[in-house]
Amino acid sequence: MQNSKRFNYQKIDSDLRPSNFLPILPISLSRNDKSIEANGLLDTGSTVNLLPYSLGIELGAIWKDQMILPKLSGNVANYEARGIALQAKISDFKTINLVFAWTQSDDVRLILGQVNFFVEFDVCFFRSQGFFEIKPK
Amino acid sequence: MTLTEMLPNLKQLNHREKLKAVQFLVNEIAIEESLLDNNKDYPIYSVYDSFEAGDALMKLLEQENAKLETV
Repeated sequence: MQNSKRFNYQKIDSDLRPSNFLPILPISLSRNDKSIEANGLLDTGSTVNLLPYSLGIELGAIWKDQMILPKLSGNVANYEARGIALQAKISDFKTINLVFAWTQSDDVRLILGQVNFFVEFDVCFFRSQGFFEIKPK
Repeated sequence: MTLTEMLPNLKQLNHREKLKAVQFLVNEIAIEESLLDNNKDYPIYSVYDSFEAGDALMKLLEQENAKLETV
């Protein structure tokens, strides 16, 4: 893809088996005057972006001030979730707004899903070659 | 067929075929290991089919983008 950036699949533990490599993207998230460096899992099967509870707290978000979201599915189905908008910067692409389902669980990954990561970025996966490419829409 | 019997044949493969053979064996081991872990719980990270939450987040995004336009 023209003007795209390439990222390698990342090994998630010391075991070298193929299932341990995931498309994980370094991303900078900010809100007001706070920002964090994080790693988001690109998950085309996830309807929404998902923010673990502690990352929202690190960004200074106040739980009760955020919009209540309808019930989620998967690992976080039993946890309440709120909607939160964050500024996101990936590589040297322009900063954009990403909206997240902020869950009360910390037993989850930071997930970049259909709403709205894949609305904002075109992504090509080259799993057999161990990398993926992304570019803004 | 034993491994000892197979090794001479494997040596005759070209470089690309040898890599494919390695990939095949790694995949086989991964499958075997996951079969052995039938009793293990696997997390489902994907927030799948949460369309109402997705719609709500898109509305939130519209509001945030509108704020930026008015600044």
